[in-house]
Amino acid sequence: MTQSQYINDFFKTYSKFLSKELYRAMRPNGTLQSTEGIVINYYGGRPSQYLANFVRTFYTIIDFNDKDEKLNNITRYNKKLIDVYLNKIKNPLSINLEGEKLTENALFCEAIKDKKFVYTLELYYEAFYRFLNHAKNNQFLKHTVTSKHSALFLQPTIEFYNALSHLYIAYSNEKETDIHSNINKALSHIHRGTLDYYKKLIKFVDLDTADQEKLVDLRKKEFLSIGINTNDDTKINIIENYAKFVFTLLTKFPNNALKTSK
Amino acid sequence: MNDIQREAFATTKLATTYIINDEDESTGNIADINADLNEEEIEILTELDKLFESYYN
Repeated sequence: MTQSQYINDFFKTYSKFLSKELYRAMRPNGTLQSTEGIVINYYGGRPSQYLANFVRTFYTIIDFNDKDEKLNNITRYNKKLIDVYLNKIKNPLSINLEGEKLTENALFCEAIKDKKFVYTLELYYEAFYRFLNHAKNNQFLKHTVTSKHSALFLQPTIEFYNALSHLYIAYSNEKETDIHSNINKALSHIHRGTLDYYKKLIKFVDLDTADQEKLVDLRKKEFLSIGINTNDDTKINIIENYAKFVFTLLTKFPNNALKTSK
Repeated sequence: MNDIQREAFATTKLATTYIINDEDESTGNIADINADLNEEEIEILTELDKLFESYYN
């Protein structure tokens, strides 16, 4: 399969997921019993594992290389996963996005290869990984059970989910300006998601005076960059600097420097 | 792609990792990632984790 075919396949699969998800995400979790005694299961909220899986799959397709058989298997299992998920949803309501009619979009496939876009996606995934890895190694999830700082993981995943919506719109579009504009909007969400991961990690680490000063400097630069296009090097540097800062903090406190709730 | 990013793709285990549900901050609602997944989903995600590991190694 060509990269263009993989991208088409990806958005068709995503469209199937989205056709149910647009409605389902607005419903609560749990089981309800109607007056007639009929039990209805609701699967509300957002299935983060699925969203996270979209992240890695999308990147792998964009960073296309000659491992066709392996990518084929990934695509095949992704479809299987989405089918299982759709079967699991008891509420049958879906929104017809006509995703099955999507045709290959050469303009999108060219635009998405933009080096800065790919690089920002890599930075996002690195932040995702650092967060998960640190969470597992330091067991701070146990602490955050009683912490007010519990909003840690879902938000950046949702940012990527929002980015995917823009990418889907871009892929469904034939106008070059709309394609670029939506890819740029997607980039903004990915940028925000990456910063979310790092900011949440920083919140749990005790900072010495030097680190406090570094953080002040980072925040100032970030604030002064408001309004600058996410594709600009200044913006990308901000993520890189956050990444370096967090990496230094985590290296300094490898075991458990994370604060419990206060 | 740098080594850390490559490792990230190769080692992320979506089938067994933690998840934090931040939709209700007031209760600090945190669930294990498998809480909402059925056996079939866990099985497929495990397979996908292996496939990504193989792809990026």
